[in-house]
Amino acid sequence: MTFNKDYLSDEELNALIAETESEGLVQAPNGLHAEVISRIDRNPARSQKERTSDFYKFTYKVVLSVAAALLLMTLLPRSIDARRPVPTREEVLKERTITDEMHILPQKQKPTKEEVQKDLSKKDLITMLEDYITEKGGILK
Amino acid sequence: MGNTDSNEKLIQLMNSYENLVFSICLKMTGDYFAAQDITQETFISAYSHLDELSPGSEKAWVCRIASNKCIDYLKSSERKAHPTPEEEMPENVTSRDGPLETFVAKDVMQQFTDNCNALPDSYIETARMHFIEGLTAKEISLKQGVPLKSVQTRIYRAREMLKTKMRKEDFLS
Repeated sequence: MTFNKDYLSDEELNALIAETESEGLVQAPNGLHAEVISRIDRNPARSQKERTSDFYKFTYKVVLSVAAALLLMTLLPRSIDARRPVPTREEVLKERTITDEMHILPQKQKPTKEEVQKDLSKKDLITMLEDYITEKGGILK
Repeated sequence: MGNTDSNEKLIQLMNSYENLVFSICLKMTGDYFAAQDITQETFISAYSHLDELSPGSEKAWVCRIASNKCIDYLKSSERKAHPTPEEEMPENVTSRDGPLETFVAKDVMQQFTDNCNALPDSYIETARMHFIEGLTAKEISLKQGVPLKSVQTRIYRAREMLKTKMRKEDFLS
């Protein structure tokens, strides 16, 4: 038996009722009354007014929640800024400059070859060379 | 409408039309248990919408609720049997070409009685007393001298066996 989603028209419904009555009615199950009453007691029906009122209460809660969320989104970032302001570009560069300067090791002013040769005699140079080699652990033979 | 008035109105509707509604549900669904459930839902729905009831049209109004619920039940049963997406269904499926296909309520009830009598021996008497004669589990327990829990278990199992049998018959038809 196939059915479609169209409900019965008034004529079809009346025809169905007449046909059912003409064929003879079947006795409904005995516990039907009690079952219906108990189901209604468990889930009491609400009037249209109550349903509408519940709907408006729900709508109000949703609107309030959205408003609160928007408010938090606008207020919270500002309150965070007050405690820790975002540094400007110049401040960051300054800090970086200072850090760079701190990390630069003091460079010894190394004399050039000409200056050394100018200042020292040949003997002094050899002595210097020997001392350097000794420090470095000698020449491998 | 106050609560007491609603209850009284509901009882009046049930006293007047429960057999008619049950017969219509049997006729449209061909299933005893589905007809029982839909009849209950019909009166519960009627109770929820008593404000919309206009005097003089109670019979048609209650039967309208019952028939619509039967059609919804049959539509969902068909979908469960053949899960086809709505867009893939051919267009002419949604239009009714011929007269409504229905059962004869008494034939459905007779078939149900036959199915009850075809149950295993230990369940026949309990099923007959509960489903056909309408006795409660407590009454059956007192009559047969059997513990209430045993009667409830038999009723539950008999119901499951009958449902399975009816589904098989529906599938084969």
